Amino acid sequence: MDREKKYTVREMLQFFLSKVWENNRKLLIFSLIQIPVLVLSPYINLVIQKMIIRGITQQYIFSRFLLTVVTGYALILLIQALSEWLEGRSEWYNRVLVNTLLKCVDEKTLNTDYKNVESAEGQQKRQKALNSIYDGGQQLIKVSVSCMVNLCGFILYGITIFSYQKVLFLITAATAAAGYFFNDRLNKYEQKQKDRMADEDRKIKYLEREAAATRAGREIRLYRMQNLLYGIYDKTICSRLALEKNICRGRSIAGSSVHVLSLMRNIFSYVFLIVMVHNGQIKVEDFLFLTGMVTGLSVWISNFMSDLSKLHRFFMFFCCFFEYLDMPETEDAAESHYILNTAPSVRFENVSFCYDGSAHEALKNINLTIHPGEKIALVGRNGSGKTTFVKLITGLYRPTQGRILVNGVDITKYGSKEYFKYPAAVFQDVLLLPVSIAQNVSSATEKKTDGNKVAECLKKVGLWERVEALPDGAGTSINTQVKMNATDLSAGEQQRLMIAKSIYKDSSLLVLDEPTAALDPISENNIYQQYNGLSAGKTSVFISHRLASTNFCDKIVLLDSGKIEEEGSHDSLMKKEGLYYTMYKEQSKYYRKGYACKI
Amino acid sequence: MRVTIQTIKMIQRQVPRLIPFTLAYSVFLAVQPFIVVQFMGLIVNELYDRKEMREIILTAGVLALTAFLLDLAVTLLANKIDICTVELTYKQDLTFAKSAMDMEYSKLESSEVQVLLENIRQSRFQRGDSWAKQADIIKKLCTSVLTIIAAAVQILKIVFDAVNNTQVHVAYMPLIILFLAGILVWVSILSAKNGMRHGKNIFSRFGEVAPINRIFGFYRQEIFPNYRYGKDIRIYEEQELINHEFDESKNAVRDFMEKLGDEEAVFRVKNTILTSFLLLVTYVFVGTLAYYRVIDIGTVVVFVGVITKFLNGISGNIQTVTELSENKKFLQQYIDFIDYSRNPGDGDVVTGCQKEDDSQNDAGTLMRDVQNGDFEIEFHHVSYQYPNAEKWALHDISFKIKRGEHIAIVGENGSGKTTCIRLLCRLYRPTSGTIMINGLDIQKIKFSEYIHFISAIFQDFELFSIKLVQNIAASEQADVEKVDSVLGDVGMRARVKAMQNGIHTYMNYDFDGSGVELSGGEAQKIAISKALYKDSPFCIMDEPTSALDPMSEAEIYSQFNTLLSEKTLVFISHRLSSCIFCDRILVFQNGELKAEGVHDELLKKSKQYQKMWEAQAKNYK
Repeated sequence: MDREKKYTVREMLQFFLSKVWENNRKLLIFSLIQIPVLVLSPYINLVIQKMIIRGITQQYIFSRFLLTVVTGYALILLIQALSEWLEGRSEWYNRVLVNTLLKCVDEKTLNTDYKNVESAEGQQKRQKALNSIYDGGQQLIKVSVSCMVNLCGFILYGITIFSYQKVLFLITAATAAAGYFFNDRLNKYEQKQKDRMADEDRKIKYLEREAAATRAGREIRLYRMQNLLYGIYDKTICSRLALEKNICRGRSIAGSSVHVLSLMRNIFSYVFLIVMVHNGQIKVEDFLFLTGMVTGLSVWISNFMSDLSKLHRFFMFFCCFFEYLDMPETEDAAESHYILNTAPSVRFENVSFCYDGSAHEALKNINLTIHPGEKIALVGRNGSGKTTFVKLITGLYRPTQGRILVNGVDITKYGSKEYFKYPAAVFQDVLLLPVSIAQNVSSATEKKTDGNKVAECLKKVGLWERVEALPDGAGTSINTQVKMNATDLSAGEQQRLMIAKSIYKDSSLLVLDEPTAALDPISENNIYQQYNGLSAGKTSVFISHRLASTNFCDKIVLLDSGKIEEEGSHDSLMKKEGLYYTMYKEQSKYYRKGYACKI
Repeated sequence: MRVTIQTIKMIQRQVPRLIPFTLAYSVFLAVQPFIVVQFMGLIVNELYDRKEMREIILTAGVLALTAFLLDLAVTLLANKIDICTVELTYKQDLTFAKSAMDMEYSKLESSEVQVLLENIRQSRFQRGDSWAKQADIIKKLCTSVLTIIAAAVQILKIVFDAVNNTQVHVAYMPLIILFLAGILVWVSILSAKNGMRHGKNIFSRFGEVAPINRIFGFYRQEIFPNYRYGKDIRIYEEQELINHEFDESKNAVRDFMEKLGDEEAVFRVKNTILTSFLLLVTYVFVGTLAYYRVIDIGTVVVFVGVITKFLNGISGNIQTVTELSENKKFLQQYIDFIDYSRNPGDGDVVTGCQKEDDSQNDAGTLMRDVQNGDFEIEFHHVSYQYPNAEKWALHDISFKIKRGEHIAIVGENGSGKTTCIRLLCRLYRPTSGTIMINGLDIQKIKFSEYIHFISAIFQDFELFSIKLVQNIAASEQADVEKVDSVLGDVGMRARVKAMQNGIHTYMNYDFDGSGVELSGGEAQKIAISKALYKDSPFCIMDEPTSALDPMSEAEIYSQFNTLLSEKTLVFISHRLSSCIFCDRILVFQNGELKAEGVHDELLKKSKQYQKMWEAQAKNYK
């Protein structure tokens, strides 16, 4: 799995530029114009100052002098206004760039193999990718622009000084480079602290979120956990601050060293220039111009260097980002187009499954045949492998060993994206999107949603009356916390909506994974009642740890510790007096007639 | 202004060193360029007057050294301020968290507070921490104000010197100075006003975009990080739909930001024109003076330098005033949130009433009785309506819970069971009616004392990502033996022992990479052990076993029978089989208490109960 792929900076830049061009074109254009403006603006200031002083010392005629002042002013104004205009925009435009990059990560989250999303490793990868965006993406354009500006300024000032005095240029460049050395060491030190800081930041973020969360809030209040959590929070902050203090100490030392260097540079350049003026090599206004240039040049150089190391750091971080984007989207070569119109048969052949990084197999050597149109009940205790079974049959996971045949064809031959077209599944945890009810049923955009079909599906699960009564009918959005004029559905209604969704999909393979666990007896019974209608003409698997669900299934499969323990009809399993028998007796004992009277 | 002062006071309280450091820093920072400029003027004059070289070099040396010392001071102070600012943001976060945890639950849950929270989060995500910003603004404000003052002093000095040096323009001078000063003041006021308007505008814009941000945030915080959505997304091929929706809100946010950027650009250009206009006036004025030899070249250098600084000060001021008025609104949100946590109504009667209330209900005795399990709870015509809801969640409920009774509450989803339990836990206050314990309204008891005698498990309990033992004991100090024994009671002892750090293992990965993620059933068992550890005389459970398989469920219930037989117990269950052994069953329907009694009785007299029982029982026949 571990592909050692290193991205070159060029590849990364290309990627970023194309993304920015696609999504934030204006930002890119404004940033490019910003470069010359930012370089020229201080230069022109210095030139104009020099011109004015020359005008005074050389006693231009007054009108010419005035003209110099006014033109100079006009130029400064123009450049200044342009620069402010650009900066005001880029300040806000820049904040959107993050969203563009986040979108890349999110798209990956939507499309990569499910196991990459579910595994702890995948989630950590995702977090790292996001952090790299928050750290670097937010400033990428800003720093790139500033880097270019500093480079150009360095060249412009360098040439100017060089044309007057070569030695002066060399000295300035040398001190600036030496200053960079101190800053670089500091950067490297900070880099080392980054991981520890990220650790503490993650904790802080977690505590911050939990402290104000409602679900956690109930727990906190009822068990009076305020002091415990406050203490942990306080401790985390203290260790985070200690790290910050170390870094600041380093910054103070590096900063002081740089100031010592610039003291040396200043003394040298003053003496040098004063001697030049004294010898009549340059004029007084040139003295001013050049001291300004020297200070400017050293700023350009050191800023350029620090921008460069910042960019370097960003790109190091971006490796996490690209690593995430690199996660596989397995697309098995679809050998041909198989189409499932009628209820398919499903056969598990020696199927085993082992989660990445787990020592024991979640499913061991499963052999099972489900005939077309057969209704299977899959039962078992927590952790017996039922959920893994569902993930395999729906194509979310691929078996570690063995194969799964649908209508006699290995499901890998369908192509994974293709295969997702066939099964419909309803899970215990209902997750609704903050879109309209109709879209939640159709799983498609508004345009592609067939309103009549939605209504039909909602009628089948008995939700239509409820939905019709809403102000916008099926167009009403779900989730009042997110959308205006939305509505919230009760747990039972939500589960029924999920079933409507599975009907809308028109699939011939239906999987229900404990859809009734959170429901009251009547809602549960309603779903049981509807099940026969829903599954008519379909191959279906019903998973539950309520054994009552076995009533309306053709065959019962009992899983225990990843193996098929028992298999057969209710009656045959009861006769066997095995594990199923025990479980059934345990669960049903209170419901059987006469039991209550005994106590 | 009130908010600004309030925030400064808060900063002073949290990090007392911040403000003095900031003041010292801004003095150095403001003064430094003027000293440099003065020296520069001096050097230029000396050069121009062809003074002796050694003298000039000496001046330059002093300049370099002074500049160095000032730079050093500024750098060191700036680093100190950085530390203080970070400290400030964290301490404010901590205060925020504390307020959130201390706030009355119903307030925290209310839509106003939730919207406020979301807005605070979003603005923080998009514009950074408001407190760090406030510290930065104060720093900038001090610096720019000091700069303006220093510059103004020097300008006046130069002008007066010029007046003294010559007699020619004496007559016009006061007028010209007045004119200049007038323009400076006018421009400053104009710009500041402009800035404030802009700041307010930005805030109101953020308000406009808040609904879109909420959608955007929901996708970012709820859907993408939650892998459970991943199953549905893939099987139902929802990628296109989600992309579409997400893009829509993403683009709306982009358009909004771009619009803000355009406004910002126009605002800044306006200000530049205003300030540059001053620059023109100065250049012409000083240039003319120098041209006619009223002032020397060195003074021109100083003057231009000072004026440039002055303008920097002004535009810095405009910017900070803009930011200040913008930031104020965001800080106000923070302060509003903190204010919600000041509970005027929290019952303080019990500890306080011992002296004031000399009725028979002596509070101390009451709590002692209650703690010993000697209590009776009565719902007296209790009704509850969720804020902004039209329907009653509970309507006119009256019943009693006697000591040692085991009571089950059954009913359909949404029939008011959970609300009833939350009222009992004082997460909500009844809209009307009272809940009484030994005759005293529970609202009158101090919350922390009241909750002491309740062990509750909710349907959607929460395990924190801290150590397992901390989760169970809900405290830093845990009785390890007791923890071990309650883990044994719920059948988790072996599982926990197998963990790398035993009971000191962290849960999940938020706190520690070596953490352990428990399955739903295991987590539920831990939640139960937490309640057992608390060992209160009154247990409340809302579907405590929903995630357990039937065998574990049966085991847990048989444990309950022995462990909790002496305690008073109220629980909700959808499995009616677990209610058979209860002393009493309450049947809820549509927020009303429809029937109560034991199983056999209810089967005969309550249609609703019969229906629910039949729904479950028939599948087992």
